[in-house]
Amino acid sequence: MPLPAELLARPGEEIRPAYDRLLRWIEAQRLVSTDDRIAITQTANGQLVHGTERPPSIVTPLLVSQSGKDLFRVGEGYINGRLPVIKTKKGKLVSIVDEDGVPHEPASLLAGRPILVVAEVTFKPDLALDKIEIVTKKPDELLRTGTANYASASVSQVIGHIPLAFNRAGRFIQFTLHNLQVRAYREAGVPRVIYWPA
Amino acid sequence: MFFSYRQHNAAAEKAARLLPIRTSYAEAPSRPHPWQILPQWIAQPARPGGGYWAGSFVPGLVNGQPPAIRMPFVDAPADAFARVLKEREAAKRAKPKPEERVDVFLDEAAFVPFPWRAIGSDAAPTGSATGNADTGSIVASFEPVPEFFQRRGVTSANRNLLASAAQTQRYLRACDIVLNQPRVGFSNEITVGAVVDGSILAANPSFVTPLDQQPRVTAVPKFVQATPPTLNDFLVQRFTDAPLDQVLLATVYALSPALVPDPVVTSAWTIFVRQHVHWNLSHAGQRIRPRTELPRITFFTPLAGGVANLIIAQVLAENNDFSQALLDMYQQTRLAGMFYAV
Repeated sequence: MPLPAELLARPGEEIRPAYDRLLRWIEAQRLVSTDDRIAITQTANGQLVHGTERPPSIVTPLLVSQSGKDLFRVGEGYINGRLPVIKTKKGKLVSIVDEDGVPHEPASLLAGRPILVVAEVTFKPDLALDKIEIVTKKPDELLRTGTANYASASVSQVIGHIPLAFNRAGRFIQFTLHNLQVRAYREAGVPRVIYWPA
Repeated sequence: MFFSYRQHNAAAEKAARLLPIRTSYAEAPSRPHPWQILPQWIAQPARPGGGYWAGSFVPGLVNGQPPAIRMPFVDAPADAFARVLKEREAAKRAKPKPEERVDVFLDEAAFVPFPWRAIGSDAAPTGSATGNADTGSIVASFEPVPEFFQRRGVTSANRNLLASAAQTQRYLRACDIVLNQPRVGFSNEITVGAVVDGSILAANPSFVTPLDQQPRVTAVPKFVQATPPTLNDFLVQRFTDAPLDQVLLATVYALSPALVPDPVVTSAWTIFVRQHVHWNLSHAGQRIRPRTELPRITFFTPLAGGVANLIIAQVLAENNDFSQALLDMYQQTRLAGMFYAV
C-alpha cells in the first residue's frame, strides 16, 4: 500500500497530530476481519488479500450416493415426516439414519444398469401410509413408468414408487431435491398414489 | 512517551507494508442445475461458417429417468455408441447406418444442434401483413428484440416491408429447446350420413397411442405452445390431438460480433442461454376414465300392431348413439398431462 506523503512527519513538526492522522488512515484501510474465506499473503511490499465466496451449503434430503462399486447410501430425508427404512447389505432393515443421526450401513445395488433407487410407499386398505422402504428397481419395474401418478396393481395393497435417483454409468443423478409428501386416493374405485415436494 | 519524527515515519512505513497492497475477490462457483445447457462449437470446415453451435445438458430427469435426443448414429458419443451396438446385438438386429437416428440420453452427453431463427433487422415477419393504399406501405409484425440485445446494438426490423431494411450493428439468432413427453392423444372423425338412411351425423372418437413413453428433447427455431382444443375443434370433420405434452426448457440466443458483413453464425458469435426450467420434472398423464353408459331412450307403442316400434327405435337409436358419442368426447378429450417440479 503506497504511503501518502502527508502521513510522514517532518523534522521539527509536532508528532501528535501526525500520529493521529496516521491512525485515522490505518483505520480507514481496514477491510475485513479474517476467516477461512480470506487468504492473506505477506510480501516485502505489503499484504495481498484474497477473498473467496463460498456457495451456500445445501443438504439435499434423501441424497443417494454411490459407495464403492455395488453399494449405495441414502442421506437423511423425510417422506410425510417419516424416515424411510432400507435393507443393508447384511439384510438388516434399518432407518436411513438412527436416532443419533448416524447414517445407515450401505445397501446393495441390483446388478445391471441403468438402475433407479426408489422409495416404495405402501398404504393400508384404508389408504393410511403403512411403510416407506428404499429399494432399487430397473426402469421397466417402476409402476406406471411415464407418469407421476401410479395405479396400483392390487386393490388390497396400494403401492407407489417415488424415484429418488438414476444411475447408468457408475454415478447417481439425483431426481428429488426435497423432502416429500405422498398420499393415496381412489379415483373411480382405482387406487392411485401421488407425491410432491414438501 | 517521546516519539521522534524518525520513529513516527518508520512506524508509518511499517503500517503501509502491513496494509494490503492488492485485494481480490472470487465469487462462489456456480452450482449446475438440471437442464442447464452447455453450448459448444462443433467445427466442420465444409459447412458455411466453419461449423455449427450445439448444446449438451446437465442431465435433467423426467419421472426419474433422463430424456433422449435423436442423434445420427455416427455423431453419438462413445458411451451411447457402445450401448446402441450392444442393444442391437442383443436384439439380433443389424448395426445402425451412420445417418440412422438413435436415442442418445442426456446423461450420455447427448447434444442437439441449434436451428436458428433470425430476430431483428433481417428477421422474417411473424404474422400477416396489412397494406395501406394511401401511404403505399405494407406493414407486418415481427418478433420483438429483447431489451438486453437492443442495448448491445441489435436493431428491430423495419415494419414497412417496402422500405429498406433497418441498419444494425449486430445480428441476433435464437432457437428454443423443448421437452416432449409422449402421452395418449384423442382423435375424432365426424361422418355425414345420407338422411334417407336415417343417419345424419356420426361421431367416431378414438385414442392415439404413442409409440413409446420415452421423453425426448428437441431444438426448434420457434416453439409455440399448443392451445388446449375446444369442443368446436372436436366437431370439425377430422380432429387429431398431438399425443404429447411439451414444455419449453430454454431459449438460446446467438449474438454476432459488431459490424459483421455476413450474418452467418460462426464461432465468433456469443451464445446466451435463457433457462426456463431449473428443476427435475414429474409428468402426470390424465387418467382415461371408465366409459359412462348413457341410459338409452326407448319408446314402445301398441299402435299399428307394433309396426311403428321399429321405425321409432331406429330414430331413437341415432339419437342415443350420437348422445353417447358426445358424452364420450366430453369425458375423454382432456388428455393433456401436467409437468411439475420435484
